[in-house]
Amino acid sequence: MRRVLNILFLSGMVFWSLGPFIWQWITSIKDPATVAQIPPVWPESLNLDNYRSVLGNEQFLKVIGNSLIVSFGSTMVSLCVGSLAAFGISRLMNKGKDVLLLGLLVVFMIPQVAVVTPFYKFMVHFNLRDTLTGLILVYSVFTVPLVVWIMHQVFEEYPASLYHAARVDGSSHWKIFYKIYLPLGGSGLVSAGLLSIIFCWNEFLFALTFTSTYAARTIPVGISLFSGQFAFPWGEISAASSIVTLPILLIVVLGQKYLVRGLVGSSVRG
Amino acid sequence: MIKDRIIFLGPLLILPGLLVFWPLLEVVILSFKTQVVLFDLDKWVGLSNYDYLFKEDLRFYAALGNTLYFTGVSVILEFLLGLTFALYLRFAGGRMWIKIILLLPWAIPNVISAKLWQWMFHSEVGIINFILQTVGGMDEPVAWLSNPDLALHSAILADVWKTTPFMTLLMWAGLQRIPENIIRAARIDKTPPFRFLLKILLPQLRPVILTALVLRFLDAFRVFDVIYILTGGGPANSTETLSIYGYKTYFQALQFGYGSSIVVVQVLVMMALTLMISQFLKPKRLKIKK
Repeated sequence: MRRVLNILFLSGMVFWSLGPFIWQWITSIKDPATVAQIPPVWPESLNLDNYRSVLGNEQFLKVIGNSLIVSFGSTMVSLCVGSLAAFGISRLMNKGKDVLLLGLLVVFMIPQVAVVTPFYKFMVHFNLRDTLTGLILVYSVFTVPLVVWIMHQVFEEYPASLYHAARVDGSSHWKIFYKIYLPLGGSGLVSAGLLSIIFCWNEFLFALTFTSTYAARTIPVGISLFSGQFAFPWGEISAASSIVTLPILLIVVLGQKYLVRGLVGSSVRG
Repeated sequence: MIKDRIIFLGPLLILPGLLVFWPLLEVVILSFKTQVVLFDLDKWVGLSNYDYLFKEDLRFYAALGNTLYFTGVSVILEFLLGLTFALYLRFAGGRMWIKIILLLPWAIPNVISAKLWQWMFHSEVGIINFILQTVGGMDEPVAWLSNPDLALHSAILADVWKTTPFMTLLMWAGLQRIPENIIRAARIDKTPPFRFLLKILLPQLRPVILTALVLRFLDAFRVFDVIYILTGGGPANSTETLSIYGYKTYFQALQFGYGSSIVVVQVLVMMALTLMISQFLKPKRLKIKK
């Protein structure tokens, strides 16, 4: 009885979580002509037409490239700025630590709409509209706080004696940071980096507002603009979604440990 | 020492420091202006934007109502569902692959999950209506996204699916941190399961619940992507939230001044509610600093 209940609950959970994905995958491998048929037909064979047409679509390839550049770009920027700052907060500040950390959290949780207009004007003024640089800059505003929170948590766990011993030996702060803290914080950097990549890969509002051509449009904007010549191309959208979900799937499967640690560490202990 | 501080903390002053505080300041200033760039209109109007917003703007109140409803219902549902999943993971064995599967919806882009739900909610060829009609015995297809009474609920469902993993994860982590001997003691005492949950687990989880609810509240209150994709705020503005209303005022009506008043009020309401939630859920006993 217990076992049956257990299996029922487990399948319910898996169905809830995975069901929509499965439907997306099934839709994506259907013959484009049968995608919108009711009652739905089971795909008789693996039909890759949707994938072929999506991968042959230059705009789609362009948005993937853009998303990759923006995600890695702002993750690099925020890992540099963020880990420096985390070290600074955890070892060089006495007063105001908590206020600063709270302020950074506020930045991270601010509604995007609240800052979108000044950002827009800023972009126009500095000719950053419709550029990848502009998006990298804007995303870094939000990913830096994320990195600081996670890396601060990591650095706080090192015993203070480690820092003091190095200071007594005459090491500069820079050297302590570079030679001791950073190498020890490798897994923290991975957590922070992955969360930051996911954030940039997924962000929609800014990307929608600050881009007007495929020069800088990212995946979410590209997908939202998908439209067909005749009918709505659900098959192609499903194929495109499946393709861009793949890297995320890999991150979750391979980096699950880091994601969990990053998410949990910064929100449960803090 | 000063030089080191500049090296390590200096970059923060610009990114995100300057890049956030200056825009916020600008938004507040804009909210006292009428600014329509298209017509070269830019004049100081004092409080009249706010006057109109509070006294006459019914669309604002509707958007506020929708936002509160969306936030309240989806955060509560996510919490209940997340807690249930977390209890299962903690006490019935959570192998790694289950955690991976449960985490997946959280990781994908909002736009993709919204598109996916739009496809499933499709009134003629959507899988949900098909299942309801064949298995559930419904006669008529349901117009999930074009019925003003249902559209917001459909958006809530999509949001709950997308963000439950976050709740599950935090609750699970919280449960892991409850000392084993408390749980063992309850087992030995044969505490009934419901009482065990209510009297032992939930009080222990309190700080985690507070963090999780506040984070999710803040995130749901600014909801944009899901609704923008699913319904665009329609039908008949029935799913329009504050973020959507603000965005449309900015970029469709091009009213930069009035749009700023809307988002300023949105942020203020958000801050007030955050304070209320934290007060309400604060530990009753004195907090012991670690």
